[in-house]
Amino acid sequence: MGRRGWKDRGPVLLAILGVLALLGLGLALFHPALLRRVTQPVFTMPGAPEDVTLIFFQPGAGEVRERRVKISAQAPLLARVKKAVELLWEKPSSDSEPTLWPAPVRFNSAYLRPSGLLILDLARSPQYNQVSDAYAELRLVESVVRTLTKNFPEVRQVKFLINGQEEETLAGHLDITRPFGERTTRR
Amino acid sequence: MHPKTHPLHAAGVIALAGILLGLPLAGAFVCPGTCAAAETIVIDPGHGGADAGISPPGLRSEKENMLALALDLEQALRRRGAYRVVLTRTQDVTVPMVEAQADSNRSGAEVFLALHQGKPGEEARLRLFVNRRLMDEALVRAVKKQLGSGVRIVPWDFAQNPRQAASRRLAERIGQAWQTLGPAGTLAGQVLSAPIAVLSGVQAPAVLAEIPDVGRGKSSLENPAYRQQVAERLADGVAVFLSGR
Repeated sequence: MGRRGWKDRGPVLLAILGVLALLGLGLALFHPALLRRVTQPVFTMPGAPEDVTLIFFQPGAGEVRERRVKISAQAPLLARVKKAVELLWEKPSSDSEPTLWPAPVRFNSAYLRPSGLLILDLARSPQYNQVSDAYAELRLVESVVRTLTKNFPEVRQVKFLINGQEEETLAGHLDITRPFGERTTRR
Repeated sequence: MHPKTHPLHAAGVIALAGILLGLPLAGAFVCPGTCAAAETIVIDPGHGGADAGISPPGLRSEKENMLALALDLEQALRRRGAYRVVLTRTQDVTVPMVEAQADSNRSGAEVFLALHQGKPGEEARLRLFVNRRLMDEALVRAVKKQLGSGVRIVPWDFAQNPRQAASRRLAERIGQAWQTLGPAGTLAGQVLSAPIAVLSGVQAPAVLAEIPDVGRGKSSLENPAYRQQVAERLADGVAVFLSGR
Protein backbone atom coordinates (compact mmCIF):
# COMPACT_ATOMS: atom_id res chain seq x y z
CA MET A 1 0.00 0.00 0.00
CA GLY A 2 2.78 2.37 1.09
CA ARG A 3 4.89 1.51 -1.95
CA ARG A 4 2.02 2.07 -4.34
CA GLY A 5 1.32 5.48 -2.67
CA TRP A 6 4.90 6.54 -3.19
CA LYS A 7 4.72 5.52 -6.83
CA ASP A 8 1.51 7.50 -7.25
CA ARG A 9 3.04 10.62 -5.77
CA GLY A 10 6.24 10.37 -7.82
CA PRO A 11 5.10 12.41 -10.83
CA VAL A 12 3.67 15.12 -8.54
CA LEU A 13 6.98 15.44 -6.71
CA LEU A 14 8.84 15.57 -9.99
CA ALA A 15 6.53 18.32 -11.22
CA ILE A 16 7.12 20.33 -8.01
CA LEU A 17 10.88 19.88 -8.34
CA GLY A 18 10.67 20.99 -11.96
CA VAL A 19 8.75 24.16 -11.05
CA LEU A 20 11.24 24.95 -8.27
CA ALA A 21 14.14 24.46 -10.67
CA LEU A 22 12.51 26.81 -13.20
CA LEU A 23 11.90 29.40 -10.47
CA GLY A 24 15.54 29.16 -9.36
CA LEU A 25 16.78 29.57 -12.92
CA GLY A 26 14.52 32.55 -13.46
CA LEU A 27 15.76 34.16 -10.25
CA ALA A 28 19.38 33.60 -11.21
CA LEU A 29 18.89 35.09 -14.66
CA PHE A 30 16.60 38.00 -13.99
CA HIS A 31 17.08 39.13 -10.37
CA PRO A 32 18.54 42.68 -10.58
CA ALA A 33 21.23 41.95 -7.99
CA LEU A 34 22.44 38.90 -9.87
CA LEU A 35 21.75 40.03 -13.39
CA ARG A 36 25.08 41.79 -14.03
CA ARG A 37 27.14 39.00 -12.54
CA VAL A 38 25.34 36.42 -14.66
CA THR A 39 25.23 38.31 -17.93
CA GLN A 40 28.77 39.74 -17.96
CA PRO A 41 30.59 36.50 -18.84
CA VAL A 42 27.87 35.58 -21.31
CA PHE A 43 28.37 38.71 -23.43
CA THR A 44 32.13 39.12 -23.03
CA MET A 45 34.26 37.06 -25.34
CA PRO A 46 37.37 35.76 -23.56
CA GLY A 47 40.29 38.13 -24.16
CA ALA A 48 38.18 40.60 -26.15
CA PRO A 49 39.14 44.24 -25.55
CA GLU A 50 36.53 46.73 -24.41
CA ASP A 51 36.14 50.26 -25.70
CA VAL A 52 37.15 52.94 -23.23
CA THR A 53 36.57 56.62 -23.91
CA LEU A 54 39.36 58.81 -22.59
CA ILE A 55 38.02 62.24 -21.71
CA PHE A 56 40.37 65.20 -21.93
CA PHE A 57 39.03 68.24 -20.13
CA GLN A 58 39.96 71.49 -21.86
CA PRO A 59 38.17 74.35 -20.14
CA GLY A 60 37.27 77.15 -22.50
CA ALA A 61 38.33 75.23 -25.63
CA GLY A 62 35.21 73.20 -26.28
CA GLU A 63 35.33 71.80 -22.73
CA VAL A 64 36.20 68.19 -23.62
CA ARG A 65 37.89 66.12 -26.28
CA GLU A 66 37.52 62.36 -26.42
CA ARG A 67 39.73 59.53 -27.64
CA ARG A 68 38.59 55.90 -27.95
CA VAL A 69 41.01 53.18 -26.92
CA LYS A 70 40.80 49.43 -26.34
CA ILE A 71 41.59 47.89 -22.97
CA SER A 72 41.47 44.16 -22.22
CA ALA A 73 38.16 43.33 -20.61
CA GLN A 74 39.75 40.22 -19.05
CA ALA A 75 41.97 42.30 -16.78
CA PRO A 76 40.77 43.03 -13.24
CA LEU A 77 38.99 46.35 -12.73
CA LEU A 78 41.92 48.09 -11.02
CA ALA A 79 44.29 47.05 -13.80
CA ARG A 80 41.88 48.57 -16.34
CA VAL A 81 41.68 51.74 -14.22
CA LYS A 82 45.49 51.95 -14.18
CA LYS A 83 45.65 51.50 -17.95
CA ALA A 84 43.02 54.17 -18.60
CA VAL A 85 44.71 56.68 -16.29
CA GLU A 86 48.14 56.05 -17.82
CA LEU A 87 46.78 56.38 -21.35
CA LEU A 88 45.50 59.85 -20.43
CA TRP A 89 49.02 61.15 -19.93
CA GLU A 90 50.83 58.93 -22.43
CA LYS A 91 53.08 60.75 -24.90
CA PRO A 92 50.92 61.17 -28.03
CA SER A 93 51.92 59.70 -31.38
CA SER A 94 50.84 62.87 -33.21
CA ASP A 95 50.37 66.55 -32.37
CA SER A 96 46.64 66.36 -33.08
CA GLU A 97 45.95 63.74 -30.39
CA PRO A 98 44.62 65.08 -27.11
CA THR A 99 46.87 64.31 -24.15
CA LEU A 100 47.81 65.36 -20.63
CA TRP A 101 51.47 64.65 -21.40
CA PRO A 102 53.76 65.64 -19.76
CA ALA A 103 51.91 65.10 -16.49
CA PRO A 104 53.19 66.22 -13.09
CA VAL A 105 52.30 62.83 -11.61
CA ARG A 106 52.54 59.09 -12.26
CA PHE A 107 50.38 56.18 -11.15
CA ASN A 108 51.23 54.39 -7.89
CA SER A 109 48.23 52.24 -7.03
CA ALA A 110 44.44 52.21 -6.77
CA TYR A 111 41.92 50.75 -4.39
CA LEU A 112 38.14 50.61 -4.72
CA ARG A 113 35.88 50.80 -1.70
CA PRO A 114 32.46 49.08 -1.79
CA SER A 115 30.83 52.54 -1.73
CA GLY A 116 32.29 53.27 -5.17
CA LEU A 117 35.05 55.53 -3.85
CA LEU A 118 38.24 54.92 -5.79
CA ILE A 119 41.41 55.80 -3.89
CA LEU A 120 43.95 56.83 -6.52
CA ASP A 121 47.48 57.00 -5.19
CA LEU A 122 49.86 59.04 -7.33
CA ALA A 123 53.49 60.07 -7.15
CA ARG A 124 55.03 63.27 -8.45
CA SER A 125 56.81 62.77 -11.76
CA PRO A 126 60.29 64.10 -12.68
CA GLN A 127 58.61 66.83 -14.79
CA TYR A 128 56.62 67.98 -11.78
CA ASN A 129 58.38 71.34 -11.31
CA GLN A 130 58.12 72.25 -14.98
CA VAL A 131 54.49 71.58 -15.77
CA SER A 132 52.53 71.96 -12.55
CA ASP A 133 50.51 75.12 -12.99
CA ALA A 134 46.90 75.49 -11.82
CA TYR A 135 45.49 74.97 -15.33
CA ALA A 136 47.41 71.69 -15.79
CA GLU A 137 46.27 70.55 -12.36
CA LEU A 138 42.63 71.27 -13.13
CA ARG A 139 42.83 69.49 -16.51
CA LEU A 140 44.47 66.46 -14.94
CA VAL A 141 42.00 66.04 -12.08
CA GLU A 142 38.91 66.64 -14.22
CA SER A 143 40.12 64.35 -17.03
CA VAL A 144 40.93 61.48 -14.66
CA VAL A 145 37.65 61.79 -12.73
CA ARG A 146 35.48 62.08 -15.86
CA THR A 147 37.23 59.19 -17.62
CA LEU A 148 36.94 56.84 -14.66
CA THR A 149 33.35 57.64 -13.68
CA LYS A 150 32.16 57.43 -17.29
CA ASN A 151 33.82 54.14 -18.22
CA PHE A 152 33.70 52.17 -14.98
CA PRO A 153 30.24 52.14 -13.36
CA GLU A 154 31.81 50.75 -10.18
CA VAL A 155 33.69 54.06 -9.72
CA ARG A 156 31.47 56.84 -8.40
CA GLN A 157 34.03 59.14 -6.77
CA VAL A 158 37.81 59.55 -6.86
CA LYS A 159 40.00 60.49 -3.93
CA PHE A 160 43.59 61.49 -4.74
CA LEU A 161 46.57 60.61 -2.54
CA ILE A 162 50.23 61.45 -3.05
CA ASN A 163 52.58 58.61 -2.10
CA GLY A 164 49.92 57.09 0.10
CA GLN A 165 49.38 60.31 2.03
CA GLU A 166 46.49 62.74 2.04
CA GLU A 167 47.75 66.12 0.82
CA GLU A 168 46.13 69.53 0.47
CA THR A 169 46.92 69.90 -3.24
CA LEU A 170 48.65 68.08 -6.09
CA ALA A 171 50.89 71.01 -6.91
CA GLY A 172 49.84 73.97 -4.80
CA HIS A 173 46.52 74.90 -6.37
CA LEU A 174 43.59 72.49 -6.57
CA ASP A 175 42.13 71.28 -3.28
CA ILE A 176 42.28 67.46 -3.21
CA THR A 177 41.32 66.94 0.43
CA ARG A 178 37.82 65.84 -0.64
CA PRO A 179 36.81 63.20 -3.16
CA PHE A 180 35.86 64.28 -6.67
CA GLY A 181 32.77 62.86 -8.33
CA GLU A 182 30.17 63.78 -10.84
CA ARG A 183 28.62 66.34 -8.47
CA THR A 184 31.90 68.02 -7.60
CA THR A 185 33.28 68.24 -11.11
CA ARG A 186 30.16 69.24 -13.02
CA ARG A 187 30.40 72.85 -14.14
CA MET B 1 25.99 144.24 10.32
CA HIS B 2 22.46 143.51 11.49
CA PRO B 3 21.96 144.92 14.98
CA LYS B 4 20.69 141.54 16.31
CA THR B 5 23.53 139.42 14.87
CA HIS B 6 26.26 138.79 17.34
CA PRO B 7 29.73 138.83 15.74
CA LEU B 8 30.47 135.41 17.27
CA HIS B 9 27.42 133.94 15.50
CA ALA B 10 28.65 135.21 12.15
CA ALA B 11 32.09 133.78 12.81
CA GLY B 12 30.52 130.41 13.73
CA VAL B 13 28.52 130.30 10.50
CA ILE B 14 31.62 131.08 8.43
CA ALA B 15 33.64 128.42 10.27
CA LEU B 16 30.93 125.79 9.75
CA ALA B 17 30.68 126.64 6.05
CA GLY B 18 34.46 126.38 5.82
CA ILE B 19 34.46 122.96 7.42
CA LEU B 20 31.65 121.69 5.19
CA LEU B 21 33.34 122.95 2.05
CA GLY B 22 36.84 122.11 3.15
CA LEU B 23 36.35 118.48 4.07
CA PRO B 24 35.75 117.23 0.53
CA LEU B 25 38.65 119.33 -0.73
CA ALA B 26 40.92 117.92 1.95
CA GLY B 27 39.74 114.46 0.93
CA ALA B 28 40.82 115.14 -2.62
CA PHE B 29 44.36 115.70 -1.38
CA VAL B 30 44.38 112.51 0.66
CA CYS B 31 42.80 110.32 -2.03
CA PRO B 32 43.79 111.61 -5.48
CA GLY B 33 42.19 109.92 -8.47
CA THR B 34 40.05 106.86 -7.69
CA CYS B 35 39.62 107.37 -3.99
CA ALA B 36 38.73 104.28 -2.09
CA ALA B 37 38.71 104.96 1.63
CA ALA B 38 41.51 102.62 2.68
CA GLU B 39 40.01 99.48 1.21
CA THR B 40 42.20 96.52 2.05
CA ILE B 41 43.67 94.42 -0.73
CA VAL B 42 45.50 91.23 0.19
CA ILE B 43 48.07 89.88 -2.29
CA ASP B 44 49.27 86.32 -1.88
CA PRO B 45 52.46 85.63 -3.89
CA GLY B 46 52.18 81.93 -4.75
CA HIS B 47 54.43 79.25 -3.25
CA GLY B 48 57.59 80.24 -1.25
CA GLY B 49 60.18 78.62 0.98
CA ALA B 50 60.67 74.93 0.21
CA ASP B 51 57.88 75.07 -2.38
CA ALA B 52 59.41 76.74 -5.45
CA GLY B 53 56.37 76.28 -7.71
CA ILE B 54 57.26 76.09 -11.38
CA SER B 55 61.03 76.03 -11.66
CA PRO B 56 62.28 74.99 -15.09
CA PRO B 57 66.05 74.40 -15.31
CA GLY B 58 67.96 77.61 -15.82
CA LEU B 59 64.98 79.89 -15.20
CA ARG B 60 63.95 81.85 -12.15
CA SER B 61 61.40 79.99 -10.08
CA GLU B 62 57.73 80.85 -9.73
CA LYS B 63 58.08 81.74 -6.04
CA GLU B 64 60.65 84.46 -6.90
CA ASN B 65 58.76 85.78 -9.91
CA MET B 66 55.52 86.03 -7.96
CA LEU B 67 57.11 87.84 -5.02
CA ALA B 68 58.63 90.37 -7.42
CA LEU B 69 55.27 90.80 -9.16
CA ALA B 70 53.45 91.20 -5.83
CA LEU B 71 55.80 94.03 -4.86
CA ASP B 72 55.24 95.72 -8.25
CA LEU B 73 51.49 95.30 -7.85
CA GLU B 74 51.59 96.81 -4.38
CA GLN B 75 53.18 99.96 -5.83
CA ALA B 76 50.78 100.04 -8.77
CA LEU B 77 47.79 99.85 -6.42
CA ARG B 78 49.14 102.60 -4.16
CA ARG B 79 49.47 104.89 -7.18
CA ARG B 80 45.77 104.33 -7.95
CA GLY B 81 44.25 105.15 -4.60
CA ALA B 82 44.46 105.13 -0.85
CA TYR B 83 44.36 101.36 -0.61
CA ARG B 84 45.78 99.41 2.26
CA VAL B 85 47.82 96.69 0.59
CA VAL B 86 48.81 93.62 2.60
CA LEU B 87 51.21 90.96 1.28
CA THR B 88 50.99 87.49 2.83
CA ARG B 89 54.77 87.21 2.42
CA THR B 90 57.50 89.71 1.60
CA GLN B 91 60.34 87.19 1.73
CA ASP B 92 61.11 83.69 0.51
CA VAL B 93 59.26 81.85 3.27
CA THR B 94 56.56 79.18 3.42
CA VAL B 95 53.16 80.57 4.35
CA PRO B 96 50.61 77.77 4.88
CA MET B 97 47.49 78.38 2.80
CA VAL B 98 45.23 78.39 5.82
CA GLU B 99 47.43 81.08 7.39
CA ALA B 100 47.26 83.28 4.28
CA GLN B 101 43.46 83.02 4.35
CA ALA B 102 43.30 83.74 8.08
CA ASP B 103 45.54 86.81 7.58
CA SER B 104 43.18 88.03 4.88
CA ASN B 105 40.07 87.54 7.01
CA ARG B 106 41.68 89.20 10.04
CA SER B 107 42.69 92.23 8.01
CA GLY B 108 39.12 92.71 6.75
CA ALA B 109 40.18 92.34 3.12
CA GLU B 110 37.86 93.55 0.39
CA VAL B 111 39.87 91.81 -2.32
CA PHE B 112 42.13 88.76 -2.11
CA LEU B 113 44.41 88.13 -5.08
CA ALA B 114 46.64 85.04 -5.26
CA LEU B 115 49.43 85.30 -7.86
CA HIS B 116 50.66 82.24 -9.70
CA GLN B 117 52.60 81.59 -12.89
CA GLY B 118 51.67 79.58 -15.95
CA LYS B 119 53.97 77.11 -17.68
CA PRO B 120 56.73 78.86 -19.67
CA GLY B 121 56.14 79.23 -23.39
CA GLU B 122 52.36 79.06 -23.15
CA GLU B 123 49.96 81.38 -24.96
CA ALA B 124 49.56 84.90 -23.57
CA ARG B 125 46.29 84.10 -21.85
CA LEU B 126 45.68 85.17 -18.29
CA ARG B 127 43.73 82.48 -16.42
CA LEU B 128 41.61 83.62 -13.53
CA PHE B 129 40.37 80.97 -11.12
CA VAL B 130 37.46 81.49 -8.78
CA ASN B 131 36.64 78.99 -6.08
CA ARG B 132 33.78 76.59 -6.66
CA ARG B 133 32.87 74.00 -4.10
CA LEU B 134 29.50 72.50 -3.28
CA MET B 135 28.51 73.07 0.34
CA ASP B 136 28.77 69.92 2.44
CA GLU B 137 25.18 70.05 3.72
CA ALA B 138 25.60 66.84 5.73
CA LEU B 139 28.47 68.42 7.65
CA VAL B 140 26.47 71.59 8.35
CA ARG B 141 23.46 69.54 9.54
CA ALA B 142 25.67 67.46 11.85
CA VAL B 143 27.26 70.55 13.43
CA LYS B 144 23.89 72.28 13.78
CA LYS B 145 22.53 69.23 15.54
CA GLN B 146 25.32 69.56 18.08
CA LEU B 147 25.08 73.32 18.58
CA GLY B 148 21.37 73.97 18.13
CA SER B 149 19.36 75.41 15.27
CA GLY B 150 19.90 79.06 16.32
CA VAL B 151 23.56 78.96 15.33
CA ARG B 152 24.60 79.95 11.82
CA ILE B 153 27.32 77.60 10.62
CA VAL B 154 29.84 78.60 7.98
CA PRO B 155 32.49 75.89 7.72
CA TRP B 156 35.93 77.35 7.02
CA ASP B 157 36.27 75.47 3.73
CA PHE B 158 33.05 77.04 2.45
CA ALA B 159 33.59 80.64 3.59
CA GLN B 160 34.13 81.71 -0.01
CA ASN B 161 30.80 80.26 -1.22
CA PRO B 162 28.59 83.33 -0.54
CA ARG B 163 31.13 85.52 -2.39
CA GLN B 164 31.33 83.49 -5.58
CA ALA B 165 29.39 86.01 -7.69
CA ALA B 166 31.54 88.91 -6.47
CA SER B 167 34.70 86.88 -7.07
CA ARG B 168 33.59 86.19 -10.63
CA ARG B 169 32.96 89.93 -11.18
CA LEU B 170 36.45 90.68 -9.86
CA ALA B 171 37.92 88.08 -12.23
CA GLU B 172 36.01 89.56 -15.16
CA ARG B 173 37.25 93.10 -14.38
CA ILE B 174 40.84 91.87 -14.25
CA GLY B 175 40.32 89.89 -17.46
CA GLN B 176 39.00 92.99 -19.23
CA ALA B 177 41.95 95.07 -18.04
CA TRP B 178 44.32 92.36 -19.25
CA GLN B 179 43.16 92.79 -22.84
CA THR B 180 44.66 96.26 -22.92
CA LEU B 181 48.11 94.76 -22.35
CA GLY B 182 50.43 94.68 -25.37
CA PRO B 183 51.94 93.18 -27.37
CA ALA B 184 49.59 92.06 -30.13
CA GLY B 185 48.31 88.54 -29.67
CA THR B 186 47.40 88.99 -26.04
CA LEU B 187 44.30 86.91 -25.43
CA ALA B 188 41.32 87.79 -23.30
CA GLY B 189 41.42 86.70 -19.68
CA GLN B 190 39.76 83.33 -19.11
CA VAL B 191 37.66 82.81 -15.97
CA LEU B 192 37.57 79.23 -14.61
CA SER B 193 35.81 77.67 -11.62
CA ALA B 194 37.48 75.00 -9.49
CA PRO B 195 37.99 74.05 -5.86
CA ILE B 196 41.03 76.23 -5.25
CA ALA B 197 42.73 75.51 -1.93
CA VAL B 198 43.99 79.01 -1.17
CA LEU B 199 40.63 80.69 -1.88
CA SER B 200 38.08 78.46 -0.15
CA GLY B 201 38.32 80.07 3.31
CA VAL B 202 38.59 83.71 2.20
CA GLN B 203 35.72 85.93 3.31
CA ALA B 204 36.13 88.44 0.47
CA PRO B 205 35.97 88.44 -3.33
CA ALA B 206 38.96 86.25 -4.19
CA VAL B 207 40.74 85.26 -7.39
CA LEU B 208 43.80 83.19 -8.26
CA ALA B 209 45.47 84.82 -11.26
CA GLU B 210 47.74 82.56 -13.31
CA ILE B 211 50.08 84.89 -15.15
CA PRO B 212 51.27 83.66 -18.55
CA ASP B 213 55.00 83.31 -19.02
CA VAL B 214 55.36 84.01 -22.71
CA GLY B 215 59.17 83.91 -22.84
CA ARG B 216 60.98 81.50 -25.14
CA GLY B 217 64.06 80.05 -23.45
CA LYS B 218 63.87 82.79 -20.84
CA SER B 219 61.10 83.61 -18.40
CA SER B 220 59.30 86.78 -19.45
CA LEU B 221 58.43 87.34 -15.79
CA GLU B 222 62.12 87.94 -15.11
CA ASN B 223 61.81 91.02 -17.32
CA PRO B 224 60.93 94.02 -15.07
CA ALA B 225 59.19 95.83 -17.97
CA TYR B 226 56.80 92.89 -18.63
CA ARG B 227 56.21 92.44 -14.91
CA GLN B 228 55.39 96.13 -14.58
CA GLN B 229 52.88 95.90 -17.42
CA VAL B 230 51.24 92.90 -15.79
CA ALA B 231 51.10 94.66 -12.41
CA GLU B 232 49.47 97.74 -13.98
CA ARG B 233 46.75 95.68 -15.67
CA LEU B 234 46.01 93.71 -12.49
CA ALA B 235 45.83 96.96 -10.52
CA ASP B 236 43.48 98.45 -13.14
CA GLY B 237 41.15 95.48 -12.83
CA VAL B 238 41.10 95.60 -9.03
CA ALA B 239 40.55 99.38 -8.99
CA VAL B 240 37.66 99.15 -11.47
CA PHE B 241 36.09 96.36 -9.41
CA LEU B 242 36.36 98.31 -6.15
CA SER B 243 35.03 101.54 -7.67
CA GLY B 244 32.03 99.74 -9.17
CA ARG B 245 30.79 97.89 -6.10
